[in-house]
Amino acid sequence: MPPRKKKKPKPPPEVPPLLRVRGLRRRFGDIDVITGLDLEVAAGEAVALTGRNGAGKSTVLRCITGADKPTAGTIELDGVAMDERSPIVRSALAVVMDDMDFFPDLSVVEHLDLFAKAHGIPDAEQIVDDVLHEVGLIPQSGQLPGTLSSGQRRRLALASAFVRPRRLLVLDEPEQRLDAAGLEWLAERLKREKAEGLGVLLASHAAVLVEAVADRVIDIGEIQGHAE
Amino acid sequence: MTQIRALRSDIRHWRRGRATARFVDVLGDAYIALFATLMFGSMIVNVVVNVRREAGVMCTSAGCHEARTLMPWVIGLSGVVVVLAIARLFGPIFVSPAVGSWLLPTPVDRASVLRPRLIGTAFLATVLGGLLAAGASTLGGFPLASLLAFTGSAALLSLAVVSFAALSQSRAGLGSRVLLWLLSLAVWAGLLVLALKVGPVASPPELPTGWVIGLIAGAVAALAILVLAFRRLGRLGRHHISPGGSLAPGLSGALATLDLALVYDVLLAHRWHRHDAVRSRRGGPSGPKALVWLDLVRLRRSPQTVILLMAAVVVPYAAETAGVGRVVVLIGGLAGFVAGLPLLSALRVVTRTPSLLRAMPFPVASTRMATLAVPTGAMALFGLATFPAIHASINLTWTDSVIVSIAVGGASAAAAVRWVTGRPPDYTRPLVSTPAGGVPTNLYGSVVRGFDVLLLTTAPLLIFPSANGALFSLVVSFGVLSYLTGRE
Repeated sequence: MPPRKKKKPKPPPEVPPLLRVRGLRRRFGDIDVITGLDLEVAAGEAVALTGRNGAGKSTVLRCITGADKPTAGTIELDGVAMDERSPIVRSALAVVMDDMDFFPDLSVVEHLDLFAKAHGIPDAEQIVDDVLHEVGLIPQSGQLPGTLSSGQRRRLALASAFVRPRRLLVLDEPEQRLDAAGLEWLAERLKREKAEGLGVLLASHAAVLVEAVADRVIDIGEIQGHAE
Repeated sequence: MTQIRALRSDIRHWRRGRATARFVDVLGDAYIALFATLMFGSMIVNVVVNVRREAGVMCTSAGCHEARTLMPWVIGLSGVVVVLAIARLFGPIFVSPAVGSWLLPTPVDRASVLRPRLIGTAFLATVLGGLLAAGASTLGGFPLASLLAFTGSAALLSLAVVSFAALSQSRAGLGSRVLLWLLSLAVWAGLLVLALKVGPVASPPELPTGWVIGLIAGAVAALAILVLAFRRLGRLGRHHISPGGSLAPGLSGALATLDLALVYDVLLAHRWHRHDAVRSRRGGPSGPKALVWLDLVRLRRSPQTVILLMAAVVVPYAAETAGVGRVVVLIGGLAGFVAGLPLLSALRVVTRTPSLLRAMPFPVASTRMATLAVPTGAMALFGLATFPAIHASINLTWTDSVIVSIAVGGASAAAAVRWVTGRPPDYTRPLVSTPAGGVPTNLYGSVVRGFDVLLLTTAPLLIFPSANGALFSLVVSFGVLSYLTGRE
């Protein structure tokens, strides 16, 4: 009987990053806004996109969230091509972009209840109350969105991301219209998100926030400049 | 206190030498405006007179005769309701955002600033109310003296209600709100009288001494209310007159692009902006049912939306009395479509707000379907409530009438959903060259949006008024709803 060959120990399977973007390209007419961007976000990691106005930060986020269609490139979530129509992707991705708007006839707390209940969170009301307290909107919980200040509306938009289950937070300039205390709170909250193993991808102009939260910073403007 | 006359003189002085239009251009614009008014006016008059002649020939049944004599009264009063509703929407007294932010905070005499606006509003209300009544009484075949009496009465009533609205504007418009409800109730009662076939045939107003005295007394009363409103102009705060001023640019922008769904958005935001807070309702089910539950919360919060739909049930019954035959399905569908639109606010908001759709963990179609459950249910009930009118008009069995009535509800829902999910004019696509400049291809279609689907879904009922026709209509309505809720 021939001696049996010893099996080589299998290398541990490669764990794909939470988000992987390869060769992302977006062209508007004759202008290349994004030219071959590579990007990865691991679980428990925060990546910040920075750069001048018009560099393409929001375009990258819009392509990742499915609000815009890239000209070329691949976007994967957990190693699987991302399709924002999939309920699994929608459950994993909590997105706060500039286009966030609300129902004019529902109160602040009713909005948050809706987001939590739509995702089937069992103790929705408790979580909503906690988040409301955290963002400082308890006194405004019965108000309609049209009566909130722009800063309060931003807090409501951020709160809508925190009351639902998520694995990756995608935030487009979350510091907009927040006061100093709000910015401080946001930084602490995002650090906590990381500590809980969630990924954070944000585009920001606030150096304080980026410095406090980001593990890696990608200057989109610089990358595009080199590519050109 | 700064005198407004001095201010106006200053403005004239600043403007001197800075005109951007030549005198010839202004004259040309005025000529075109006058020509267009005369042309469109004569077209409308021509249509009204022709319809009156046709109606005189074709209207032979007793029901039609009764409807023809009663409808001018209902339409005339509806015109007054429309005038009052528009007046309340804007204030009726409002100022542009520029005047609101630059002129009102200054120590200028506020009553002097607002006086021309009240005069303009009162004039417009009088003309609009009178024109609507003139059209209605012409269609009703009133003799000239009666037409004049009727038109004059409606014009005076419009003037009185708008002056009253201006009077109550400093008290959050509470009085005009009650008046609007009462007048709407009177219109509905008129339709009900017609639908139940219990009303006496309404005779046209004549011009005996009593009516003339009444007209004079009405004019004095209307002017007295107007004078009172003038006296109270100084009491109006900026918060009373600014909201109407911010509404006007939004509405005119939406109307300029013929985007009627955007008009809906502007009105919805304006309506809820008046409320500071609401009593929040918590609890409810999870998943897509959470959206359905919130629609029930909406019904409880603004029950007038469902009251309007319920009240509109009387329209197909009135049409049946008028002897319209199988056209009752089209009239019923149209009534359900128009009265059902306010119920679709949630669908409209998720249609124009991708971020809300993105925040839901289920497919887009499921989210839209969930926002449709309550409105389509209400419209199906509306349709069902019309089955006796359909039974009497088309002479079907009771079972077939019920199936046809459900199809009418389905047609209303499909048309209303088509209306609220319409896409705005797309100026990035190739434009069609017209004398008015480049026009997006979907601009013209936006005017007939909703009505196209209504015709499509009621066509099977009009051609084959039977259970089979109704089933075919339901299939078409369901297909339209599936397509509209599922598209990206």
